Amino acid sequence: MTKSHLLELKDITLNYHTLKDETKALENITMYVDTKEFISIVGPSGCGKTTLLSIIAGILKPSGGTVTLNGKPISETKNQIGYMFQRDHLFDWRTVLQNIKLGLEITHNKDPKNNEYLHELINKYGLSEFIGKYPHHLSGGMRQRVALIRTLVLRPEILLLDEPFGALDYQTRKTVIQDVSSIITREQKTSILVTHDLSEAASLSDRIIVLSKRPSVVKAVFKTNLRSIPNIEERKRTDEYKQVVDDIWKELEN
Amino acid sequence: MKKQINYSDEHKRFLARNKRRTALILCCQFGILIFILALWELLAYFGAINTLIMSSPSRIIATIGSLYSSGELFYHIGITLYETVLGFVISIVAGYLIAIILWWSDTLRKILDPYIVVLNSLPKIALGPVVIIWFGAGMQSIIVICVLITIIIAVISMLNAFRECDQDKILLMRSMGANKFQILTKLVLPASLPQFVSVLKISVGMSWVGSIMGEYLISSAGLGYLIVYGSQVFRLDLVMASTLILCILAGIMYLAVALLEKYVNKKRGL
Repeated sequence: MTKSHLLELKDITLNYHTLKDETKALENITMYVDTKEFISIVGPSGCGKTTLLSIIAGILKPSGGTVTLNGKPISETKNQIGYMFQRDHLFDWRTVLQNIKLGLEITHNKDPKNNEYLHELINKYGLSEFIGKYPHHLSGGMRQRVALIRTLVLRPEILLLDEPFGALDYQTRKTVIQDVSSIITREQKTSILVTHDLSEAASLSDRIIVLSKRPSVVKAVFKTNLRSIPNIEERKRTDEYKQVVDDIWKELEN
Repeated sequence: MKKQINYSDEHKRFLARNKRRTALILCCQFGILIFILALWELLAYFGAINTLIMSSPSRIIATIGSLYSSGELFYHIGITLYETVLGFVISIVAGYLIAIILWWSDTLRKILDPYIVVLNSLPKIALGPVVIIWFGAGMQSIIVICVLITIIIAVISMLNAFRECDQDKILLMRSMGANKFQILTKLVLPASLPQFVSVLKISVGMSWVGSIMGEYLISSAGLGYLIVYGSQVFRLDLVMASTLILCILAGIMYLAVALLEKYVNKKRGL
Protein backbone atom coordinates (compact mmCIF):
# COMPACT_ATOMS: atom_id res chain seq x y z
CA MET A 1 0.00 0.00 0.00
CA THR A 2 1.37 3.46 -0.88
CA LYS A 3 1.67 6.01 1.90
CA SER A 4 -0.91 8.79 1.57
CA HIS A 5 0.29 12.35 2.00
CA LEU A 6 -1.52 15.38 3.38
CA LEU A 7 -1.18 17.28 0.09
CA GLU A 8 -0.41 15.76 -3.26
CA LEU A 9 0.16 17.46 -6.60
CA LYS A 10 0.22 15.16 -9.63
CA ASP A 11 1.34 16.24 -13.09
CA ILE A 12 0.25 19.85 -12.61
CA THR A 13 0.38 21.78 -15.85
CA LEU A 14 -0.66 25.37 -16.40
CA ASN A 15 -0.89 27.34 -19.61
CA TYR A 16 -1.56 31.07 -19.79
CA HIS A 17 -3.62 32.25 -22.72
CA THR A 18 -3.51 35.69 -24.30
CA LEU A 19 -4.90 36.78 -27.68
CA LYS A 20 -1.39 36.74 -29.11
CA ASP A 21 0.13 33.71 -27.46
CA GLU A 22 -0.03 30.71 -25.20
CA THR A 23 2.58 30.42 -22.45
CA LYS A 24 3.37 27.21 -20.65
CA ALA A 25 3.99 28.20 -17.01
CA LEU A 26 4.11 24.84 -15.23
CA GLU A 27 4.79 21.43 -16.67
CA ASN A 28 4.04 18.14 -14.94
CA ILE A 29 4.78 19.31 -11.42
CA THR A 30 4.51 16.40 -9.03
CA MET A 31 5.17 16.88 -5.33
CA TYR A 32 3.77 16.04 -1.92
CA VAL A 33 3.64 17.55 1.53
CA ASP A 34 3.26 15.60 4.77
CA THR A 35 1.60 16.72 7.98
CA LYS A 36 3.63 19.25 10.03
CA GLU A 37 6.24 19.52 7.31
CA PHE A 38 7.76 22.86 6.33
CA ILE A 39 8.45 22.95 2.61
CA SER A 40 10.13 25.74 0.69
CA ILE A 41 9.84 26.29 -3.03
CA VAL A 42 12.67 28.19 -4.69
CA GLY A 43 13.40 28.95 -8.31
CA PRO A 44 14.30 31.70 -10.76
CA SER A 45 12.12 34.83 -10.98
CA GLY A 46 8.93 34.29 -12.95
CA CYS A 47 9.20 30.49 -12.84
CA GLY A 48 5.67 30.15 -11.46
CA LYS A 49 6.21 29.70 -7.71
CA THR A 50 3.31 31.99 -6.77
CA THR A 51 1.19 30.44 -9.52
CA LEU A 52 1.78 27.06 -7.93
CA LEU A 53 0.63 28.40 -4.54
CA SER A 54 -2.53 29.81 -6.17
CA ILE A 55 -3.26 26.37 -7.60
CA ILE A 56 -2.74 24.74 -4.20
CA ALA A 57 -5.03 27.38 -2.63
CA GLY A 58 -7.70 26.52 -5.20
CA ILE A 59 -7.76 30.10 -6.51
CA LEU A 60 -6.37 29.08 -9.90
CA LYS A 61 -7.45 26.02 -11.88
CA PRO A 62 -4.61 24.07 -13.48
CA SER A 63 -4.76 23.19 -17.17
CA GLY A 64 -3.99 19.60 -16.24
CA GLY A 65 -3.21 17.39 -13.25
CA THR A 66 -4.71 16.99 -9.80
CA VAL A 67 -4.29 18.54 -6.37
CA THR A 68 -5.59 16.53 -3.43
CA LEU A 69 -5.76 17.38 0.25
CA ASN A 70 -6.27 14.38 2.53
CA GLY A 71 -7.08 12.39 -0.60
CA LYS A 72 -9.88 14.77 -1.69
CA PRO A 73 -9.65 17.08 -4.71
CA ILE A 74 -8.78 20.59 -3.52
CA SER A 75 -11.98 21.99 -5.08
CA GLU A 76 -14.05 19.84 -2.67
CA THR A 77 -12.24 21.04 0.46
CA LYS A 78 -13.25 24.28 2.13
CA ASN A 79 -11.17 26.75 4.12
CA GLN A 80 -8.39 24.30 4.81
CA ILE A 81 -5.70 26.41 3.22
CA GLY A 82 -4.40 29.62 4.77
CA TYR A 83 -2.61 32.13 2.58
CA MET A 84 -0.05 34.71 3.72
CA PHE A 85 1.25 37.25 1.24
CA GLN A 86 4.37 39.38 0.88
CA ARG A 87 2.45 42.37 2.21
CA ASP A 88 0.25 41.90 5.25
CA HIS A 89 -2.86 43.26 3.47
CA LEU A 90 -4.48 44.33 6.72
CA PHE A 91 -7.56 46.42 6.08
CA ASP A 92 -6.81 49.99 7.19
CA TRP A 93 -10.38 50.68 8.26
CA ARG A 94 -10.55 47.69 10.57
CA THR A 95 -9.00 47.40 14.00
CA VAL A 96 -6.56 44.58 14.76
CA LEU A 97 -9.39 42.50 16.24
CA GLN A 98 -11.68 43.17 13.28
CA ASN A 99 -8.87 42.23 10.88
CA ILE A 100 -8.25 38.97 12.70
CA LYS A 101 -11.98 38.21 12.60
CA LEU A 102 -12.21 38.77 8.82
CA GLY A 103 -11.86 35.11 7.86
CA LEU A 104 -14.37 34.01 10.50
CA GLU A 105 -16.88 36.56 9.16
CA ILE A 106 -16.37 35.32 5.60
CA THR A 107 -16.81 31.68 6.58
CA HIS A 108 -19.70 32.50 8.98
CA ASN A 109 -17.79 30.82 11.80
CA LYS A 110 -18.16 33.37 14.57
CA ASP A 111 -19.31 30.81 17.13
CA PRO A 112 -18.11 30.91 20.78
CA LYS A 113 -15.63 28.09 20.21
CA ASN A 114 -13.83 29.96 17.44
CA ASN A 115 -14.08 33.19 19.37
CA GLU A 116 -12.36 31.52 22.31
CA TYR A 117 -9.61 30.19 20.03
CA LEU A 118 -9.21 33.66 18.52
CA HIS A 119 -8.67 35.26 21.92
CA GLU A 120 -6.38 32.41 22.92
CA LEU A 121 -4.16 33.18 19.91
CA ILE A 122 -4.33 36.92 20.57
CA ASN A 123 -3.21 36.45 24.17
CA LYS A 124 -0.63 33.79 23.39
CA TYR A 125 1.09 35.92 20.77
CA GLY A 126 1.05 39.24 22.60
CA LEU A 127 -1.59 41.08 20.63
CA SER A 128 -4.10 41.67 23.44
CA GLU A 129 -3.05 45.28 24.05
CA PHE A 130 -3.30 46.09 20.34
CA ILE A 131 -6.74 44.68 19.50
CA GLY A 132 -8.41 48.11 19.45
CA LYS A 133 -5.62 49.73 17.39
CA TYR A 134 -5.68 50.32 13.66
CA PRO A 135 -2.98 48.81 11.39
CA HIS A 136 -1.22 52.15 10.87
CA HIS A 137 -0.45 52.20 14.59
CA LEU A 138 1.55 48.96 14.32
CA SER A 139 5.14 48.25 13.32
CA GLY A 140 5.90 46.18 10.20
CA GLY A 141 6.70 43.11 12.28
CA MET A 142 3.58 43.42 14.39
CA ARG A 143 1.44 43.80 11.25
CA GLN A 144 2.84 40.52 9.86
CA ARG A 145 2.08 38.84 13.16
CA VAL A 146 -1.52 40.06 12.96
CA ALA A 147 -1.69 38.75 9.37
CA LEU A 148 -0.43 35.35 10.55
CA ILE A 149 -2.95 35.17 13.41
CA ARG A 150 -5.72 36.20 10.96
CA THR A 151 -4.73 33.15 8.90
CA LEU A 152 -4.24 30.76 11.83
CA VAL A 153 -7.60 31.57 13.39
CA LEU A 154 -9.25 29.72 10.51
CA ARG A 155 -7.41 26.56 11.61
CA PRO A 156 -6.05 25.79 8.14
CA GLU A 157 -4.52 22.39 7.44
CA ILE A 158 -1.80 24.04 5.38
CA LEU A 159 -0.27 27.51 5.49
CA LEU A 160 0.89 28.99 2.21
CA LEU A 161 3.52 31.67 2.70
CA ASP A 162 4.20 33.75 -0.40
CA GLU A 163 7.43 35.59 0.42
CA PRO A 164 5.92 36.92 3.65
CA PHE A 165 9.18 38.51 4.75
CA GLY A 166 10.07 40.14 1.44
CA ALA A 167 8.69 43.59 2.23
CA LEU A 168 10.42 43.95 5.60
CA ASP A 169 13.68 45.73 6.40
CA TYR A 170 16.66 43.58 7.41
CA GLN A 171 16.35 43.99 11.18
CA THR A 172 12.58 43.44 11.29
CA ARG A 173 12.90 40.57 8.86
CA LYS A 174 15.26 38.67 11.17
CA THR A 175 12.89 39.06 14.11
CA VAL A 176 9.75 38.26 12.11
CA ILE A 177 11.26 35.10 10.56
CA GLN A 178 12.08 33.80 14.05
CA ASP A 179 8.65 34.86 15.28
CA VAL A 180 6.68 33.25 12.44
CA SER A 181 8.79 30.11 12.53
CA SER A 182 8.22 29.68 16.27
CA ILE A 183 4.48 30.26 15.94
CA ILE A 184 4.22 27.72 13.08
CA THR A 185 6.18 25.13 15.08
CA ARG A 186 4.14 25.79 18.21
CA GLU A 187 0.84 25.54 16.35
CA GLN A 188 2.16 22.45 14.50
CA LYS A 189 1.13 23.78 11.11
CA THR A 190 2.10 22.30 7.79
CA SER A 191 3.59 25.08 5.69
CA ILE A 192 4.72 25.81 2.17
CA LEU A 193 6.98 28.83 1.73
CA VAL A 194 7.76 30.46 -1.59
CA THR A 195 10.93 32.52 -1.47
CA HIS A 196 13.81 33.98 -3.43
CA ASP A 197 16.00 33.87 -0.36
CA LEU A 198 17.98 30.62 -0.19
CA SER A 199 19.02 31.31 3.39
CA GLU A 200 15.36 31.57 4.42
CA ALA A 201 14.52 28.36 2.57
CA ALA A 202 17.45 26.38 4.02
CA SER A 203 17.05 27.60 7.59
CA LEU A 204 13.28 27.17 7.88
CA SER A 205 12.48 24.00 5.94
CA ASP A 206 12.38 20.24 6.22
CA ARG A 207 12.55 20.02 2.44
CA ILE A 208 13.40 22.51 -0.30
CA ILE A 209 11.95 22.05 -3.78
CA VAL A 210 13.88 23.69 -6.59
CA LEU A 211 11.93 24.64 -9.69
CA SER A 212 13.48 25.23 -13.10
CA LYS A 213 12.86 28.31 -15.23
CA ARG A 214 9.64 28.47 -17.28
CA PRO A 215 8.04 26.08 -18.13
CA SER A 216 8.71 24.97 -14.57
CA VAL A 217 9.49 21.43 -13.60
CA VAL A 218 10.73 20.11 -10.27
CA LYS A 219 14.49 20.16 -10.73
CA ALA A 220 15.66 18.89 -7.35
CA VAL A 221 14.55 18.29 -3.77
CA PHE A 222 16.81 18.79 -0.74
CA LYS A 223 16.20 17.54 2.78
CA THR A 224 17.46 19.13 5.98
CA ASN A 225 17.28 18.28 9.67
CA LEU A 226 17.76 21.81 10.91
CA ARG A 227 14.29 22.39 12.37
CA SER A 228 15.26 20.55 15.54
CA ILE A 229 17.38 23.61 16.42
CA PRO A 230 14.96 26.25 17.79
CA ASN A 231 17.04 29.34 17.02
CA ILE A 232 17.26 30.23 13.34
CA GLU A 233 20.55 32.09 13.68
CA GLU A 234 22.05 28.98 15.28
CA ARG A 235 20.76 26.88 12.39
CA LYS A 236 22.65 29.16 10.03
CA ARG A 237 25.91 28.46 11.82
CA THR A 238 25.78 24.70 11.15
CA ASP A 239 27.70 22.93 8.38
CA GLU A 240 24.50 21.29 7.16
CA TYR A 241 22.95 24.70 6.50
CA LYS A 242 26.01 25.87 4.55
CA GLN A 243 26.05 22.66 2.53
CA VAL A 244 22.32 22.89 1.67
CA VAL A 245 22.57 26.54 0.59
CA ASP A 246 25.57 25.64 -1.55
CA ASP A 247 23.76 22.68 -3.15
CA ILE A 248 20.62 24.73 -3.94
CA TRP A 249 22.75 27.52 -5.38
CA LYS A 250 24.59 25.06 -7.66
CA GLU A 251 21.28 23.57 -8.78
CA LEU A 252 19.88 27.01 -9.62
CA GLU A 253 23.01 27.95 -11.53
CA ASN A 254 22.85 24.86 -13.73
CA MET B 1 -10.41 67.23 30.50
CA LYS B 2 -7.61 68.18 28.15
CA LYS B 3 -4.36 66.39 28.91
CA GLN B 4 -1.52 68.72 29.95
CA ILE B 5 1.65 68.02 28.02
CA ASN B 6 5.01 69.54 28.93
CA TYR B 7 6.58 70.53 25.65
CA SER B 8 10.18 71.62 25.22
CA ASP B 9 10.88 75.32 24.54
CA GLU B 10 11.82 74.46 20.96
CA HIS B 11 8.50 72.67 20.42
CA LYS B 12 6.60 75.57 22.03
CA ARG B 13 8.32 77.95 19.58
CA PHE B 14 7.40 75.64 16.70
CA LEU B 15 3.73 75.60 17.80
CA ALA B 16 3.68 79.39 18.19
CA ARG B 17 5.21 79.82 14.71
CA ASN B 18 2.63 77.50 13.26
CA LYS B 19 -0.20 79.35 15.01
CA ARG B 20 1.07 82.71 13.70
CA ARG B 21 1.27 81.31 10.16
CA THR B 22 -2.30 79.96 10.30
CA ALA B 23 -3.53 83.33 11.62
CA LEU B 24 -1.66 85.15 8.84
CA ILE B 25 -3.22 82.93 6.14
CA LEU B 26 -6.71 83.50 7.59
CA CYS B 27 -6.12 87.27 7.81
CA CYS B 28 -4.93 87.38 4.20
CA GLN B 29 -7.89 85.33 3.01
CA PHE B 30 -10.39 87.67 4.68
CA GLY B 31 -8.25 90.71 3.89
CA ILE B 32 -8.41 90.07 0.13
CA LEU B 33 -12.21 89.78 0.31
CA ILE B 34 -12.59 92.93 2.42
CA PHE B 35 -10.17 94.85 0.17
CA ILE B 36 -12.09 93.93 -3.00
CA LEU B 37 -15.46 94.77 -1.41
CA ALA B 38 -14.20 98.08 -0.01
CA LEU B 39 -12.56 99.07 -3.29
CA TRP B 40 -15.72 98.13 -5.20
CA GLU B 41 -17.89 100.13 -2.80
CA LEU B 42 -15.60 103.17 -2.92
CA LEU B 43 -15.38 103.16 -6.72
CA ALA B 44 -19.18 102.97 -6.88
CA TYR B 45 -19.57 105.71 -4.23
CA PHE B 46 -17.29 108.15 -6.06
CA GLY B 47 -18.87 107.31 -9.42
CA ALA B 48 -15.71 105.74 -10.89
CA ILE B 49 -17.73 102.74 -12.04
CA ASN B 50 -21.23 102.55 -13.45
CA THR B 51 -23.37 100.90 -10.76
CA LEU B 52 -25.99 100.00 -13.33
CA ILE B 53 -23.51 97.59 -14.90
CA MET B 54 -21.24 96.80 -11.96
CA SER B 55 -23.62 97.19 -8.99
CA SER B 56 -21.98 97.62 -5.56
CA PRO B 57 -21.76 95.67 -2.27
CA SER B 58 -24.22 98.01 -0.50
CA ARG B 59 -26.72 97.69 -3.36
CA ILE B 60 -26.35 93.88 -3.31
CA ILE B 61 -27.04 93.81 0.45
CA ALA B 62 -30.02 96.14 -0.04
CA THR B 63 -31.38 93.83 -2.76
CA ILE B 64 -31.02 90.81 -0.49
CA GLY B 65 -32.80 92.81 2.23
CA SER B 66 -35.70 93.70 -0.06
CA LEU B 67 -35.96 90.08 -1.26
CA TYR B 68 -36.11 89.03 2.38
CA SER B 69 -38.77 91.57 3.35
CA SER B 70 -40.95 90.65 0.37
CA GLY B 71 -40.69 86.98 1.42
CA GLU B 72 -39.14 86.02 -1.91
CA LEU B 73 -35.64 85.25 -0.65
CA PHE B 74 -36.33 81.92 1.07
CA TYR B 75 -38.90 80.97 -1.58
CA HIS B 76 -36.28 81.16 -4.38
CA ILE B 77 -33.54 79.66 -2.22
CA GLY B 78 -35.90 76.83 -1.22
CA ILE B 79 -36.73 75.98 -4.82
CA THR B 80 -33.11 75.90 -6.03
CA LEU B 81 -31.97 74.07 -2.91
CA TYR B 82 -34.70 71.46 -3.37
CA GLU B 83 -33.77 70.87 -7.03
CA THR B 84 -30.06 70.73 -6.24
CA VAL B 85 -30.30 68.45 -3.22
CA LEU B 86 -32.75 66.10 -4.93
CA GLY B 87 -30.62 66.01 -8.10
CA PHE B 88 -27.51 65.42 -5.97
CA VAL B 89 -29.09 62.58 -3.94
CA ILE B 90 -30.54 60.85 -7.03
CA SER B 91 -27.19 61.14 -8.84
CA ILE B 92 -25.19 59.79 -5.93
CA VAL B 93 -27.52 56.88 -5.11
CA ALA B 94 -28.11 55.89 -8.75
CA GLY B 95 -24.48 56.55 -9.71
CA TYR B 96 -23.24 54.39 -6.85
CA LEU B 97 -25.60 51.53 -7.76
CA ILE B 98 -24.70 51.72 -11.47
CA ALA B 99 -20.98 51.70 -10.59
CA ILE B 100 -21.53 48.59 -8.42
CA ILE B 101 -23.38 46.82 -11.26
CA LEU B 102 -20.63 47.71 -13.74
CA TRP B 103 -17.95 46.51 -11.30
CA TRP B 104 -19.87 43.28 -10.77
CA SER B 105 -20.17 42.46 -14.48
CA ASP B 106 -17.03 43.08 -16.46
CA THR B 107 -18.81 42.09 -19.67
CA LEU B 108 -21.58 44.63 -19.08
CA ARG B 109 -18.94 47.28 -18.31
CA LYS B 110 -17.19 46.56 -21.60
CA ILE B 111 -20.51 46.63 -23.51
CA LEU B 112 -21.53 49.98 -22.00
CA ASP B 113 -18.06 51.55 -22.07
CA PRO B 114 -18.48 53.46 -25.40
CA TYR B 115 -21.89 54.80 -24.29
CA ILE B 116 -20.44 56.07 -21.02
CA VAL B 117 -17.51 57.68 -22.83
CA VAL B 118 -19.85 59.45 -25.28
CA LEU B 119 -22.23 60.56 -22.52
CA ASN B 120 -19.30 61.90 -20.53
CA SER B 121 -17.95 63.90 -23.48
CA LEU B 122 -21.36 65.24 -24.52
CA PRO B 123 -22.23 68.72 -23.19
CA LYS B 124 -25.29 67.60 -21.24
CA ILE B 125 -26.98 70.95 -21.68
CA ALA B 126 -27.42 70.01 -25.37
CA LEU B 127 -30.00 67.51 -24.15
CA GLY B 128 -31.97 70.34 -22.49
CA PRO B 129 -34.63 70.76 -25.23
CA VAL B 130 -35.18 66.98 -25.39
CA VAL B 131 -35.52 66.81 -21.61
CA ILE B 132 -38.04 69.67 -21.60
CA ILE B 133 -40.15 67.94 -24.28
CA TRP B 134 -40.03 64.62 -22.42
CA PHE B 135 -40.48 65.81 -18.84
CA GLY B 136 -42.37 69.07 -19.34
CA ALA B 137 -41.42 72.67 -18.70
CA GLY B 138 -41.22 72.39 -14.94
CA MET B 139 -39.14 71.40 -11.98
CA GLN B 140 -38.93 67.76 -13.11
CA SER B 141 -36.90 68.76 -16.17
CA ILE B 142 -34.54 70.86 -14.04
CA ILE B 143 -33.93 67.90 -11.72
CA VAL B 144 -33.35 65.61 -14.73
CA ILE B 145 -30.81 68.07 -16.19
CA CYS B 146 -29.14 68.27 -12.78
CA VAL B 147 -28.95 64.45 -12.61
CA LEU B 148 -27.65 64.19 -16.19
CA ILE B 149 -24.84 66.62 -15.43
CA THR B 150 -23.89 64.98 -12.12
CA ILE B 151 -24.41 61.24 -12.54
CA ILE B 152 -21.91 60.38 -15.29
CA ILE B 153 -18.94 61.76 -13.36
CA ALA B 154 -20.21 59.98 -10.24
CA VAL B 155 -20.46 56.64 -12.10
CA ILE B 156 -17.04 56.95 -13.78
CA SER B 157 -15.25 58.08 -10.61
CA MET B 158 -16.83 55.41 -8.40
CA LEU B 159 -16.21 52.66 -10.94
CA ASN B 160 -12.54 53.68 -11.21
CA ALA B 161 -12.28 53.60 -7.43
CA PHE B 162 -13.82 50.10 -7.28
CA ARG B 163 -11.54 48.83 -10.03
CA GLU B 164 -8.43 50.24 -8.34
CA CYS B 165 -9.03 47.99 -5.33
CA ASP B 166 -5.87 46.04 -4.45
CA GLN B 167 -5.96 42.75 -6.39
CA ASP B 168 -3.87 40.99 -3.74
CA LYS B 169 -6.45 41.86 -1.12
CA ILE B 170 -9.12 40.37 -3.36
CA LEU B 171 -6.93 37.28 -3.72
CA LEU B 172 -6.57 37.12 0.07
CA MET B 173 -10.34 37.21 0.50
CA ARG B 174 -10.83 34.58 -2.20
CA SER B 175 -8.29 32.35 -0.45
CA MET B 176 -10.50 32.64 2.64
CA GLY B 177 -13.46 31.49 0.56
CA ALA B 178 -15.13 34.89 0.08
CA ASN B 179 -17.80 35.19 -2.60
CA LYS B 180 -18.18 38.23 -4.84
CA PHE B 181 -20.78 39.87 -2.57
CA GLN B 182 -18.46 39.54 0.43
CA ILE B 183 -15.55 40.97 -1.58
CA LEU B 184 -17.80 43.90 -2.50
CA THR B 185 -19.17 44.63 0.96
CA LYS B 186 -16.14 43.84 3.11
CA LEU B 187 -13.39 45.13 0.84
CA VAL B 188 -14.29 47.11 -2.28
CA LEU B 189 -16.90 49.44 -0.75
CA PRO B 190 -15.04 50.25 2.48
CA ALA B 191 -11.73 50.61 0.63
CA SER B 192 -13.27 53.11 -1.79
CA LEU B 193 -14.87 55.25 0.92
CA PRO B 194 -12.28 58.08 0.62
CA GLN B 195 -12.91 58.22 -3.15
CA PHE B 196 -16.66 58.19 -2.46
CA VAL B 197 -16.28 61.31 -0.32
CA SER B 198 -14.25 62.92 -3.15
CA VAL B 199 -17.07 62.07 -5.56
CA LEU B 200 -19.51 63.74 -3.14
CA LYS B 201 -17.37 66.87 -3.17
CA ILE B 202 -17.23 66.98 -6.98
CA SER B 203 -20.94 66.17 -7.25
CA VAL B 204 -21.93 69.05 -4.96
CA GLY B 205 -20.51 71.49 -7.49
CA MET B 206 -21.91 69.59 -10.46
CA SER B 207 -25.42 69.55 -8.92
CA TRP B 208 -25.38 73.34 -8.51
CA VAL B 209 -24.26 73.68 -12.13
CA GLY B 210 -27.09 71.32 -13.16
CA SER B 211 -29.88 73.05 -11.27
CA ILE B 212 -28.83 76.58 -12.29
CA MET B 213 -28.42 75.52 -15.95
CA GLY B 214 -31.86 73.92 -15.75
CA GLU B 215 -33.32 77.09 -14.29
CA TYR B 216 -31.67 79.13 -17.06
CA LEU B 217 -33.54 77.00 -19.60
CA ILE B 218 -36.94 76.74 -17.94
CA SER B 219 -38.13 78.13 -14.68
CA SER B 220 -40.32 80.70 -13.05
CA ALA B 221 -38.62 80.59 -9.68
CA GLY B 222 -35.25 79.86 -8.09
CA LEU B 223 -31.89 81.58 -7.95
CA GLY B 224 -31.10 80.69 -11.58
CA TYR B 225 -34.38 82.28 -12.59
CA LEU B 226 -33.52 85.43 -10.61
CA ILE B 227 -30.14 85.63 -12.40
CA VAL B 228 -31.75 85.25 -15.85
CA TYR B 229 -34.58 87.64 -14.97
CA GLY B 230 -32.15 90.19 -13.49
CA SER B 231 -29.99 90.15 -16.61
CA GLN B 232 -33.03 90.52 -18.89
CA VAL B 233 -34.38 93.59 -17.07
CA PHE B 234 -30.85 94.93 -16.48
CA ARG B 235 -31.03 94.61 -12.70
CA LEU B 236 -27.45 93.71 -12.02
CA ASP B 237 -28.07 94.06 -8.25
CA LEU B 238 -30.41 91.10 -8.47
CA VAL B 239 -27.93 89.07 -10.57
CA MET B 240 -25.08 89.76 -8.16
CA ALA B 241 -27.23 89.15 -5.07
CA SER B 242 -28.42 85.79 -6.42
CA THR B 243 -24.86 84.81 -7.34
CA LEU B 244 -23.65 85.73 -3.86
CA ILE B 245 -26.38 83.61 -2.26
CA LEU B 246 -25.42 80.74 -4.57
CA CYS B 247 -21.79 81.02 -3.47
CA ILE B 248 -22.81 80.88 0.18
CA LEU B 249 -25.14 77.89 -0.33
CA ALA B 250 -22.58 75.94 -2.40
CA GLY B 251 -19.99 76.67 0.28
CA ILE B 252 -22.29 75.40 3.04
CA MET B 253 -23.05 72.20 1.10
CA TYR B 254 -19.33 71.64 0.46
CA LEU B 255 -18.63 72.24 4.14
CA ALA B 256 -21.23 69.60 5.04
CA VAL B 257 -19.42 67.07 2.83
CA ALA B 258 -16.06 68.10 4.32
CA LEU B 259 -17.51 67.48 7.81
CA LEU B 260 -18.73 64.09 6.62
CA GLU B 261 -15.19 63.36 5.40
CA LYS B 262 -13.80 64.31 8.80
CA TYR B 263 -16.32 62.01 10.48
CA VAL B 264 -15.48 59.13 8.11
CA ASN B 265 -11.74 59.55 8.73
CA LYS B 266 -12.32 59.63 12.48
CA LYS B 267 -14.36 56.43 12.24
CA ARG B 268 -11.50 54.81 10.35
CA GLY B 269 -9.02 55.84 13.03
CA LEU B 270 -7.19 58.30 10.76
